[in-house]
Amino acid sequence: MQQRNYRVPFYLLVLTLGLTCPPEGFAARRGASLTLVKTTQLRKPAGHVHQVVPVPGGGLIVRDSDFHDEKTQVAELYSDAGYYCGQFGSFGHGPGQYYRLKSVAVGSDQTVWLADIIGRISRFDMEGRLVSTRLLQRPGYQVDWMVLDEPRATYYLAGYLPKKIYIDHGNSLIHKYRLGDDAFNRSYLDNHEEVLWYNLTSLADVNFDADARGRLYVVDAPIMKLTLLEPESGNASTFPVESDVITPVSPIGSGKEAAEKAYTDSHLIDRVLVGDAHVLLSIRRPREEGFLLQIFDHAGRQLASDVPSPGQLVGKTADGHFYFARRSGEGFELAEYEVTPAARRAQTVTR
Amino acid sequence: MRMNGKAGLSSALYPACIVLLLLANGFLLWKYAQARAQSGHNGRGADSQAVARLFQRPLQSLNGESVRLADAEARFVVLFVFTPGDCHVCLQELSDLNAADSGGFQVFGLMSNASLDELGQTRQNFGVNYPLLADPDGRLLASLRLPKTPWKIVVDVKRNRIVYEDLPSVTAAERQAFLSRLNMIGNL
Repeated sequence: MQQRNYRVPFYLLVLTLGLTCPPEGFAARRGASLTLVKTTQLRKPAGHVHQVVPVPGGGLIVRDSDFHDEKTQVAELYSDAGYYCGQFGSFGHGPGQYYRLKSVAVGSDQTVWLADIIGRISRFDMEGRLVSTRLLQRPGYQVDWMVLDEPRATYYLAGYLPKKIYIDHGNSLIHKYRLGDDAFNRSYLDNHEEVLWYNLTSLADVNFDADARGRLYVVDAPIMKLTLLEPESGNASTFPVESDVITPVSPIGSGKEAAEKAYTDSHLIDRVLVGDAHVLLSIRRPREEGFLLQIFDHAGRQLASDVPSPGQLVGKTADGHFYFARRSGEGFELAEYEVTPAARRAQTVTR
Repeated sequence: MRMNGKAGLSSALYPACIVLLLLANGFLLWKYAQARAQSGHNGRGADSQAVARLFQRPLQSLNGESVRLADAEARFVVLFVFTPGDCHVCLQELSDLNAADSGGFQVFGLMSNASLDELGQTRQNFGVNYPLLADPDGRLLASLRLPKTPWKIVVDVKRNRIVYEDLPSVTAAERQAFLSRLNMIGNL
């Protein structure tokens, strides 16, 4: 009995469909790139640059949080030209000090907010004088990140808040406070279940940013997903990070060594920052071999994937551009980039 | 089987060396234990002499008053030593200790590395009714040489000695067990 050969028409059909109906992400993932706007040389001979926050009225605050050498941690003020002007607080355990400086924010009144991992928020004036401190005790948790949302008289903190005493029993991630009296309002978002299933709590590090409408874009370091949270309604949508090169974190065994190895060998989300029209997600490559960028729009659609980062994504400007820092000569080069549609490419970073 | 002279000598010296080493180790351990005993530190809890000194010195309370733990009217003082950086679950016991502050017990919280303002925040956050005392620069905490913080110390003021010390209770059952233990101590 003769058997009909359907292979050729089948392959033709697949080819035709592939050319005419590419997957949703395919075309979109080539829809954005980075364009250099300007660079500034930071006169910072030692340490690191982990976060840069522009000060309304001029100047930059640079957070340097090296947890391997905690005593070098500092929040410094630089002029727009990159000259050192002073610092806020210092390493320590007392009021106005920080044990592990996790996040910096600046209010429109030029008050500098420093969030320490222990749950102490210290506020300084621009002269470096301590204005006030706030201890987060009820609820209490280790702080990962902080975002001010002044138009809505709110600020948010991120960190694993255990639901049942211990963090391996499930946690809330985002916590809302009222500006002015620091009253706790509510918590949002449960941690991704994979964190508990695969014993990833030692890698967990919640990072987030807000857009102009007050919506929050939340990530957790070992989980390659972006969550869009609307605080008003409490609704959340999660979008996977599409990538050709990122490998998911494997389950971690017990012990400090296993956790340290996983930290070194894994792709981990380092930062998420929201610009005027785009969301940049920076992923640290294993063994500190640079960073990859994933570019989303505000609706959570991924526009570009695996874009080599021109440095470490460290902040954003008031007009929605992004800061990238990298060592250069006797200091750091702080490069300001804007995200542009692919068709408008000028001086772009290519793969 | 015969041994030559050299091998016989070394086989006799070897156990002797082991014995000498063991004796030397024993002597060093004995000296170390003596030194620890003199300093009043048993390696598992607070430095008892430092606690005794702490009881005699004036400490600053939230309202700026000077408080001496040795002046406590109750026979037993429960001292809860903590810092803002301690595990948040452990600090929940600050609230439960309100229940212990009665009868033969007087409770004090000693908060290190915190300003008076932060002391006030803590009082409000946990609804603390007993006195909170300040140790802004953490010197008192350092002198106590505690294995960990938070740390609970129960002192018999009359006899001037520590009768109980431990980590904080984390679960509700543990907290209840601690209160029961205080009852037992009070009945002694």
